[in-house]
Amino acid sequence: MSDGVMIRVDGVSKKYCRDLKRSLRYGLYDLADELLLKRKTEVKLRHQEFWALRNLSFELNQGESLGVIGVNGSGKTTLLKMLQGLIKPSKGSITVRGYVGALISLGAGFQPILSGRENIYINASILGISKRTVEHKLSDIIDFADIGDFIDAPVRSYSSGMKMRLGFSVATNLVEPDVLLIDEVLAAGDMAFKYKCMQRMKEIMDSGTTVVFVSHSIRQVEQLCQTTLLLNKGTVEDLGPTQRVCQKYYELVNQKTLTKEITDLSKKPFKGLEGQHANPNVFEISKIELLNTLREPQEQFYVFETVIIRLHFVAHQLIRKLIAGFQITTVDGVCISAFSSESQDIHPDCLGSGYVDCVISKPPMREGAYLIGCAIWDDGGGKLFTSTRLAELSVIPDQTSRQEAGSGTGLVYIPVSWHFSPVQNLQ
Amino acid sequence: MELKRSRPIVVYTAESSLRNPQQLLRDMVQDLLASRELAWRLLVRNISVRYRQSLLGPVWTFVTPLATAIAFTLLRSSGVIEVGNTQVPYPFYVVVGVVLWQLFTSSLNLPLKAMKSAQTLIKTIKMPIEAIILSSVGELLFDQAINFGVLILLLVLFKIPLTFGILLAPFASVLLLSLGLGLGLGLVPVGSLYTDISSAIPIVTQFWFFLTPVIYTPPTRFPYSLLTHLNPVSPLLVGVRSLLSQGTLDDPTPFFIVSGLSMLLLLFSWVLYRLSIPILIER
Repeated sequence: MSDGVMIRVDGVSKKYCRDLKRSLRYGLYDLADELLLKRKTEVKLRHQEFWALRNLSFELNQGESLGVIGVNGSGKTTLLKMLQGLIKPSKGSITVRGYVGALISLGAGFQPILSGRENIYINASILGISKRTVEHKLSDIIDFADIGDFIDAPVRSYSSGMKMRLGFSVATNLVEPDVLLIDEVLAAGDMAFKYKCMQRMKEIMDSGTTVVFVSHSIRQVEQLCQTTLLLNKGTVEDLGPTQRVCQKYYELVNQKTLTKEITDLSKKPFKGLEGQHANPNVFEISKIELLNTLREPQEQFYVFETVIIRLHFVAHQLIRKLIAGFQITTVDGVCISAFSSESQDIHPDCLGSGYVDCVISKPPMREGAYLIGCAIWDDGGGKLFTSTRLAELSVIPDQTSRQEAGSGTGLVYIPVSWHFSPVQNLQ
Repeated sequence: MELKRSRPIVVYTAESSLRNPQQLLRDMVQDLLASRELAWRLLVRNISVRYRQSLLGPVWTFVTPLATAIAFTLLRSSGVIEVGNTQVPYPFYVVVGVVLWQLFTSSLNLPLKAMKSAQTLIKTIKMPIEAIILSSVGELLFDQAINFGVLILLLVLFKIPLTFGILLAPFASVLLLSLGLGLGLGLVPVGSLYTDISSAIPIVTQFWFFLTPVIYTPPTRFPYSLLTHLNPVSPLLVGVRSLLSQGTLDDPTPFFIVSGLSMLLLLFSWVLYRLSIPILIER
């Protein structure tokens, strides 16, 4: 392996068995094969087996960080387990250089009866770190975990967030691994600590550690990784620059959750779609349309292009003071903006079929896929209809928006301009 | 920054690691060395956890041998059972026998139990797996040390002359431990997959208990003498007991043969155990 390469994954496949009983039996067969030195030249799927990961190849150089994303069951954890050496690939080879650290299931091995301090030593020795090193860094660990007097209380009295704090602190302050594997570790923990953890991980990456980062939080992947691997059902969907791959991930998720039919509800009744009527015999949503300023249906919108959401409804009875509200969220559920007609004091009485137009002028979202959610109330504040995923809004980049906003990062474009007051030329 | 480490390269493939026995042996020794500290930590952890929630603490360790001894002494003196004449007082004979028998069964059960309790750990963190076994062995030795202390106390109580053989007895009993451990480790691959093994072990060991001269003297008349000749536990158990009570080995040949075989078995089982771990984690 050439010098800078820290991880090389070469044509790796891994198969699993769906059926437990059968999988146990295969386990025995595999063990017998190991003992009898059977060469696995051609690996075939046995009955009930499937590829959890198929034909994966990549290389990571020192200091590079790879994000691994994909929906549940796409093979992310399997990959990490193989990189750790916990399980063997069914085919292909994995070469890892140097000490491998793992931020996986933090606090595994914490003994509930013992105190946090005692557990630091135990956890450290599980990670293969000597007592001397721990003593040297004990105060760093305790400071970072920041759980106060609880450090001397038994771990079973800890909250899950505190356990995570201590686990993360032990795992990141003790080792300086050459390769670090991270698996969705920041699930618990409050905002402040999450921020602290992100900073710490960035520090680790900047120090030249090669990182493989598995996460469902695309925002975190975007923040931490230059390259990203998108897995889908065990196969490589895409591998490349993070922005491109994440975009592809959104598309993949959208394919699964949103079908074109949702935008045209008249063809299909609401049953089973992601919206809930309080009582369709009283009030019913029949269709949602996304229009441009010419009131023509449009599938994609440029950044800053005005979008009109037209929601068709049928009021089978007189609805007093109808209020409509919409929200725009990212695919992973971050609300970008929510607004309702109530705030502008518009609440007409409605009967029969009609529609409501919501004109969104110059929406600043960056290119990508977004979800439009909706809620309709009546006079008494009773909800007539709610949905968090009523339609998909697809935003594409255009030249002017790029020029106007520059190529920054973030959720939205904020038009900015620059002005430097005259600077001295020192030459 | 810590010391600049050399960066070892590890390769994982589908190939059996038996293909490269030299590397396998090197890894085994390396992991064994690497697991010392972890094993010690786990040992200290387990023992302190055990006694932190117990009032009587180590007393429990010696309850079974004592109770068994009392029961069988009563049975014998009332003439219900006939066990042959023993060179040392019968209660002492039984206590030693049961302590040693327990050492054997505990070490037989130990690998499967240890694997079960460390399941989550093994499945999530790469670590020297030997540490799990090693720490349990440590725990067993800890109990054994208490037992030996009590045994010596009993020797004095029963006014049995102390010999130098007593000093050898702990080492000899390690052989009994390796026999149990070797068998137990060999059961791990199948036993971790199928629970049938754990269900069968208590039944088998109970039956085995009566086939081993624990509470009676080794029969010399054929075909009953086969019990002692074919049962690998007998020579070791009888040997250690006679070392303790008489200071000598009555019948050294089978003792040494079984000892050697136990060691080989242990090594073989260890290899098997290592090979099976990645497969077990998967299931």
